[in-house]
Amino acid sequence: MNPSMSVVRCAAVSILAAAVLFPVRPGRAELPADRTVNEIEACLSCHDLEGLGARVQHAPVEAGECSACHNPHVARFSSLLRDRPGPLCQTCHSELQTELVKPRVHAPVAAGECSGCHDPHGSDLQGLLIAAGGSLCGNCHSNVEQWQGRQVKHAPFSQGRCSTCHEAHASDAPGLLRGSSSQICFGCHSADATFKSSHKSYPVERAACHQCHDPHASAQRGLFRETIHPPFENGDCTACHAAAGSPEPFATVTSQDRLCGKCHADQVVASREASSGHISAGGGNCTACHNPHAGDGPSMLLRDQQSVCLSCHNPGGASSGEAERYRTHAEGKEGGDLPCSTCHAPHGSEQPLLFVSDSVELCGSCHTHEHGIRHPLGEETRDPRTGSPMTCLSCHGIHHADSEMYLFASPERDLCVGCHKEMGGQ
Amino acid sequence: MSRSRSLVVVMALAWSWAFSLVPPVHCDLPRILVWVESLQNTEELEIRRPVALASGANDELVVADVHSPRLIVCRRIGVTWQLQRAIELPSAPIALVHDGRRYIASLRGRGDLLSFEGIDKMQQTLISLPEGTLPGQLAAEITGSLLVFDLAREKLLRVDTQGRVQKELPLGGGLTALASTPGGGFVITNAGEGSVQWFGPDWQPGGRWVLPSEGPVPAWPVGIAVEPNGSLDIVDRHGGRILVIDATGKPEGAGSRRGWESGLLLFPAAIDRLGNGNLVVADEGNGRVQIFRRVDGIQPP
Repeated sequence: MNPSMSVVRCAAVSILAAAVLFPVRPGRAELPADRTVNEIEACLSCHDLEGLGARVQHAPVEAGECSACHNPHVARFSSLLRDRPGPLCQTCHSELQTELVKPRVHAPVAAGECSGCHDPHGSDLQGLLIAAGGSLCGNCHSNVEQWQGRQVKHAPFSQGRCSTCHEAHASDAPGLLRGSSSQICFGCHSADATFKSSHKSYPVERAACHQCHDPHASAQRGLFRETIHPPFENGDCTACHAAAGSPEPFATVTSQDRLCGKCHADQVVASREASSGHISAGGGNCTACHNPHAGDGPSMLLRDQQSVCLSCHNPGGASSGEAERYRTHAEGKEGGDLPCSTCHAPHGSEQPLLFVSDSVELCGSCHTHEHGIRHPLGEETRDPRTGSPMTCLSCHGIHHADSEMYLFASPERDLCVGCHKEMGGQ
Repeated sequence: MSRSRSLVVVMALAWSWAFSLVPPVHCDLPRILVWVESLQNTEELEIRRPVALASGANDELVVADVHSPRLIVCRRIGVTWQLQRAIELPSAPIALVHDGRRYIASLRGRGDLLSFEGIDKMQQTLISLPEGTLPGQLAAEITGSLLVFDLAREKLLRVDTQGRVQKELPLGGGLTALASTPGGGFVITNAGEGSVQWFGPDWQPGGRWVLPSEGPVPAWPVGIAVEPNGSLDIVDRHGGRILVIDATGKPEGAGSRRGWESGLLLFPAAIDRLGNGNLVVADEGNGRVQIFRRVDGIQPP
């Protein structure tokens, strides 16, 4: 049986029983039909309402219908609201329901935190926004401040018109974009002769412009991303690609591993010869993680490192309910939020799980004081459960575990008796 | 009895009825595989990081270990499996397969394959592949030819016993396991997608199935064994499970889970089928090889 059906049954039984046990007595606390209340007058006798003088007022406020959202006597929700903020707003703004089913929903919308962006009473800004576009988005998106410090800014960004490219509530495209990257860009820019000439006549009209250009701001002309690959910067496209006029102009002149290996032999060799090779790197699929033209950071990754790793290792992202699975080690602690490459070698390693060094040595490089008297580890101490050498990972998880200190079980007893069976009865 | 007391009794009965119908939140697949045994290390020889294995006979199993790269030949003597001999490898192994006559391994950083035959498996032969090929996963076909996934070009190659390419098919990246099917086709897994894809004898793509996750953890398939009836036994590296799906992609059941104790798996790397139908799994994270048996009465011949 569907669990929701059981919940419905439980609720129905409860309501039925409550109705029998606690019947509503007619006439109690009801207002005579001929008596009306001026809600605004009654509410403002105690409450200050700043939004009342605002240029744009929420329709119920303008109509003096405070009770459209608030119950004047009692409510389950804070501010005496009749429902949780999200569902309450949807009772009138039903168009939001179609937004919520889209693949990407803005986090405050998904959480029903409408008042994170909108003032429910009134505002001087259209859409009852609590602040103007750029500064409103910057309240959560800390990158905005970073971009504002850059020398070259994209016009919509510098004018705070985030909604030129992004949807505020939900979108079918990544990054809450209003369409594909090229669709958005060619809404303002045209593929004219200057465009073609600056792209060496390669037909990039349908390419993902944002891979090379930062759509917000950059320290470089042309809004190029922070690091530019030298062959690309030199305009030497044919060093890697077929000629612009050829039938397949974006085809590479040889396989990726050979092409990249001409200069980055260490990484290619490491990925091929290490006993644990990364799936993508071992196959020479360098562009699974790297942008061969330009990127932010010295490694020219497609996105920030954690996002690149999680695009395969946690493909559903936070929305899949797997946010905890690959939680960054030491998250929220001093020196925490470690990049994945602190512990894992992204191309290949001689160690299991692509560790950069032996796991005991690796953990000990940061955790120098945790074990005053340490459990014996290494070749001489075998895990009785498996017969393998004891390592830190015999007891501790890498990213998270159920008990404190990333332990797999409670250190009070359960963890120890997993191996020391003789202690189980004590 | 007063009216209110009888109502309380009715409510209590109604609550217990309503809650009795709530299923458990986490619905597992039927557990249809049980642990049989683990191969025991000896003082002279131990399995440390098994990443591939293949069985060429009912009483013979070869394990590829990346710890001091080597093959470990194991034999069943009486009622126990024994580790008999180690054969050093020039580099870390990727995959191992038995083509009906010999064991063939692909090795990291090498453009050829290495075969091992003879009673002691010491008779080694190089199988050359076309220049630029970087062999990864392997599978043996009943016709004697080999399926080789070329990591460099991301193509599947069918090669004859001499390494000559007979057919090729671009498959893209992300392939983590490969097995041939009794009907002449093959199946592949893609770990990032958590999927299995089936190809027919004409190498045209057939069904593609996303494997069920283990709670919130998506399946990360890295090894496949094919049953004679077309069912697939798939080893899930992140979930520490063996998943069994039928030839139409419908999950039949599962075995094991993530852990250290006997019968549990920690980052398993490969799976193969023994002659008696039991499944043998390279339990890389726990540094051992374990054997499982089906218990749902559908033990394939």
